[in-house]
Amino acid sequence: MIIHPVLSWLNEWWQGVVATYGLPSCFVPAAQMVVHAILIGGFIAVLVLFLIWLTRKVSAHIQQRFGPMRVGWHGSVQTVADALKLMQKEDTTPRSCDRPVFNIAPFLAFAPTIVAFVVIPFGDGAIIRDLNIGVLFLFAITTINVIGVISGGWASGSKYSLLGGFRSAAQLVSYEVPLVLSALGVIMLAGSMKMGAIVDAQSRIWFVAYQPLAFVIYIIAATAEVNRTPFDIPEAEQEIVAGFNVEYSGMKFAMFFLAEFANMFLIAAIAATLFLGGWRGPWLPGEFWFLAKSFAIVLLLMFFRWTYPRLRVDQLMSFAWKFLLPLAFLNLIITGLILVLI
Amino acid sequence: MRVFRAIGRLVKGTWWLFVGMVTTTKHFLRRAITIQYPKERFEQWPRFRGRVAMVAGDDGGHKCTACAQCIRVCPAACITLERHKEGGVKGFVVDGYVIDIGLCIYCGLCVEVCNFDALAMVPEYEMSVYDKAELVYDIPKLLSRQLEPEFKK
Repeated sequence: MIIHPVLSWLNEWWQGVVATYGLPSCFVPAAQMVVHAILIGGFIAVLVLFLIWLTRKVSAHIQQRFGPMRVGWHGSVQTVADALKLMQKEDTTPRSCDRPVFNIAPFLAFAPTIVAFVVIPFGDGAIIRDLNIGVLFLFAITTINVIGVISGGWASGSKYSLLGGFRSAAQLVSYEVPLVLSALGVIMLAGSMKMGAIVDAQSRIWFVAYQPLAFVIYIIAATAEVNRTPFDIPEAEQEIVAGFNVEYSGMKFAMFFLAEFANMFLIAAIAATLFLGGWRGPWLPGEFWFLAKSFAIVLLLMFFRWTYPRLRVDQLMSFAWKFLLPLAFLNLIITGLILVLI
Repeated sequence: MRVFRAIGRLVKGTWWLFVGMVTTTKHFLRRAITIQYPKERFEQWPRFRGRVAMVAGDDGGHKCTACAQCIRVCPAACITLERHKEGGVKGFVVDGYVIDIGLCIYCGLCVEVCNFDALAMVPEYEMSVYDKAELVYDIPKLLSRQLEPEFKK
């Protein structure tokens, strides 16, 4: 509604420029890709700055504090100041670390998040590539995140980092299964893995009405996927300091932080698209509805964080394999039966 | 029967998860209780006890008799007194009386022990200064702030 006309106008203008000056035609898609990359990068940067501020504000108000109040209106520029501080910080490298892996791990953790935003439908037509394997691509890409986390934990040369990395790997891999299985119910209903088709299929009723159990499983598994609090075992402060990012400082730490918050929004955006009708909503433009639904889920995750105590490692694993996985299969079987019978 | 018990526990557990979220939401909607310190200050209660001050007598001067009881009782040893004997005068003459507020622990024992009501705790608590020397309070400085009459010891 907003983004699509602007982008197509930009594209037409650039095509005109290319035609006028007789530039090679491959410049058209190349420029488009660059614009898209800049848009996603800028969106993620602004989003994470806002999300960190929101997290601090929400957590403070849950504890009846104010949170940041000094920098800007109600501390709204506080995160910018913090980011500037992080850039100035010394980038320490521990002596016992595996240097190349240590340096590359933050980017390994962050890059998949950017890539995953390619298939997120922000509004009507505001999707960069509506791949026909959209959902599969999304879950395949976000899982690569684990490699960044575990290599960061391994390369730091610290027992806390290593434990955090291992825990993270175990947790992410086991929660990936119920997560994908819960999304499978939606895919069966929509009959397509294309994000656009899934949103179109929800033009009348949101899939959360047909798949309430899948939605609950998805939210639980998603919380574990992005290491939010009831499942934040990989960075349990009281046990292993900060998990896989103990040894990181400066911009490398900022990359891990960026990845964590961008992932949180990503998982909320997927939930909004798969279960809550995506960008569809009355009167207001689709971008607004998409952001509103995503932020509702993000707020839910934040409330989880300040309500529920952390699980133990064994509880976490048995919950995933003995409880969520059978439930997800049950949901899948019921969905299949209903689809066949009706 | 174990199945039923498990289902019961599941329902109960889910209910308590819900109760937890309701509690969090309630606290989220309440007003924050933080006092934004330099902008706002808390309301001082009437008999708030801040730093030590000397109580002015009827002539406006201090009431100290240099008996040194306060020095004896002070656990932080922050009071210094200079005194001498003078012919024809009963007791001592005070030359100097200094309290180092930087050492003071605000216990109020000196006020308790003073037989002549020469000391009191006044409601002043923002004592930060840029120089340690400014924390050493002599007699004029100790007399500079007085209690409201109704709260005299």
